[in-house]
Amino acid sequence: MTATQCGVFHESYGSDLQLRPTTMQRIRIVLVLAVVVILPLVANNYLIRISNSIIIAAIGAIGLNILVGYTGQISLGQGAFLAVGAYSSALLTTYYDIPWPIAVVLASFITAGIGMMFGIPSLRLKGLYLAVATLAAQQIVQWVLNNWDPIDGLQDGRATNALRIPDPKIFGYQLNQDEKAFYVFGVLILIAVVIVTVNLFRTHVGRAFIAIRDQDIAAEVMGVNIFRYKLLAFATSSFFVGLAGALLAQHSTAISWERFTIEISIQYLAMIIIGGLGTISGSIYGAIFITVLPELLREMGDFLTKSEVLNADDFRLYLPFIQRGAFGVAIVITLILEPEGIVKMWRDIKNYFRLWPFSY
Amino acid sequence: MTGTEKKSLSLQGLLDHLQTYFAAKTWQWYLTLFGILAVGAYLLNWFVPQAQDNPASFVRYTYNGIAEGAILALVSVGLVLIYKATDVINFAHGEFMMLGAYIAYEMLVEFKVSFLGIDRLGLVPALIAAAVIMGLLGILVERLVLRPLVGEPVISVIMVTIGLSSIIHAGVGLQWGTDAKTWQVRDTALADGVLAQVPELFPQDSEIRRDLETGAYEREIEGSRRPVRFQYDKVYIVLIVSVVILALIFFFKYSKQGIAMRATADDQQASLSMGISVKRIFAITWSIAAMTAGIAGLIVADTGGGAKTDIPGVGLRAFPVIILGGLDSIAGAIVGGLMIGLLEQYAVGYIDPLLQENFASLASASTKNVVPYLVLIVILMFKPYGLFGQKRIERV
Repeated sequence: MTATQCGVFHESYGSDLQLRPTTMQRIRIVLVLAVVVILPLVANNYLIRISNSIIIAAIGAIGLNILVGYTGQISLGQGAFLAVGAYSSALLTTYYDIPWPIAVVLASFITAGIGMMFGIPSLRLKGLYLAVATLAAQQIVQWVLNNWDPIDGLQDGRATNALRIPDPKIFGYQLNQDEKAFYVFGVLILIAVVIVTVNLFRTHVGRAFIAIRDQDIAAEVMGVNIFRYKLLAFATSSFFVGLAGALLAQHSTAISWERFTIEISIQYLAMIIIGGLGTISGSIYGAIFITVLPELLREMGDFLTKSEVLNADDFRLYLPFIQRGAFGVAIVITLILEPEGIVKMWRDIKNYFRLWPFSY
Repeated sequence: MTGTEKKSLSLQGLLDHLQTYFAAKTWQWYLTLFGILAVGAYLLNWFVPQAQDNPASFVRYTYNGIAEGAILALVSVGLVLIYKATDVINFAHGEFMMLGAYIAYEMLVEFKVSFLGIDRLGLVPALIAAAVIMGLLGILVERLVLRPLVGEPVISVIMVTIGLSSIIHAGVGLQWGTDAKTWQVRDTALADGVLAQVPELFPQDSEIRRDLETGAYEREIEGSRRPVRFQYDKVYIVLIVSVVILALIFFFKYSKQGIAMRATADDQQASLSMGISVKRIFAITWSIAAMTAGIAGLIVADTGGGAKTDIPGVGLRAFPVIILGGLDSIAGAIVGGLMIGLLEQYAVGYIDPLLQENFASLASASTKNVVPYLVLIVILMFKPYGLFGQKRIERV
């Protein structure tokens, strides 16, 4: 029944510009949106909290994918840029009494600026050299967070490790307490980010990014100003990463440097690798996978302890290692078996069913 | 480099000059360099005691810097070997080190190995065991994890080693837990008097103490306002590292496999057509790199309070080293290692007090970990391929 489509043929410029030209695609997006709308109505608070983490992670992963997947500039400094976003929004609301939505936007721009600054070495560095140079960004930002007292959170005159920020409120909802309100707010932002990014790669700027990734010398020959577009890629990427960081700060309202270490940079890289490099949907799949995996393991462990297969104390002790090991195994297996990630698997499934009874 | 190029008296010229020297007379230079380092480090103990406070602390920072630098150099050599042969940066190198340390712990504490009847010298068989097991693990890792990814983009290869590091970390955690595993426990029978039995290798002219926290043997120098402490253990670091690196140099210079490895690093296709099994070379490379990492891990654990889960942090400190020296230069790894080691210690000695005195908000700051990266960024602006790295010419 579905084995009818053998290509997409555009008959007007209007249809050529559509993001989702086929009926199946439209049906799928409606289904996805339906799930997104129904989820908060049926799910409990715990599930919505995980969804909120996924939303934040997805925004950050899309940002990283712009830089790594689309422009081909490897960055190990994701944690640092998240931190810049989180701390600048936190400081703006705490010390300057700026309303938090404005602070979030300002924080994104600040992160874009900082990202551009650390993107300057990309003028002369490539590949692994650049990866280590962005590691420098990670280390330097982490050092500042760790040592600079004003952002280490002064509470009642003594330094605490975490910085507390005022509760973000919108239309009477308190976003850090009310998970559902944050969910609605976050989903709207995520949809906006997705639409902006998808369209970005239909403009000359996005095409220039892709050209730089595929063959930078050829891109230069064709008139792409490499340095300018690399910096632009760093700025765009950092903007979204900063947005994710600022949302993270507003969601938890207490932030400390431990949440922005190199482990976080690695987690985000894992998201885009497992999801699929250079795809928007891949960033979201990856964010879901990496966020849900440890929770799933914990739930499974809880189930096993309840049925007394495992000792509860042992389990609590070993859980972090099991989670970490599973994370590593997921990365290695994805890369060995399906280097293009979940997106490719999903595409394979679709292709299989498209030609269904005659899938050869 | 073309023959007509003019040697000017600039920094660039000096570096080029050094580079040519290192290329021409490799092992003689290494030998001289490390002979000077080893003898110098040993002699420092004899000459410094009567020195004034400040010069003594300068010498101490230099001494510590050389010792730390030697470890970093050993770690970096492994990373550079892997990069040269296979174009991979191994982000699991720190975890290899950690594993080496835990193997040594098993040998020393669980199997209670000793050598020539001295417990402390049990380190020698432990080191050999760590090297052998890590060597086998290196082959295994190459075969199972890296070989399927030959020809994939840089990011995939980076990520697979990162995934590997997570797996090793998890395995170590499940097996040994998070507590530090020290093997100097046996010596604490002597804890009351604090005086410990130290091998006679070391000068005995003043009281030798053992720091109970770090387990390091130290001697306080009399006659200075602040006690300046030298950790004796650091002498043997330089010795072991020199021996390992010398062994590597002889391996590359004279053995058939070593020459084949150099050929492969130079031109894979040409060496394939000359009958060299590139697959085997890759496996050997990973094996040697894992061995050096295991030895480095053992040294770090021995001088830094036992095998523990934060050893991979040392692996992270090796990244500025290899970038500074150039990813594909072994000489660069050694020189870079010493430079970063010294830099870190001078940062501890001179920059930290300066910051702490002048900025109230930085009272507890330690710049040790951040200064190498700051220097790195500045150097990369001028020498994007590091001090000794080969400039790659790309063609479309």
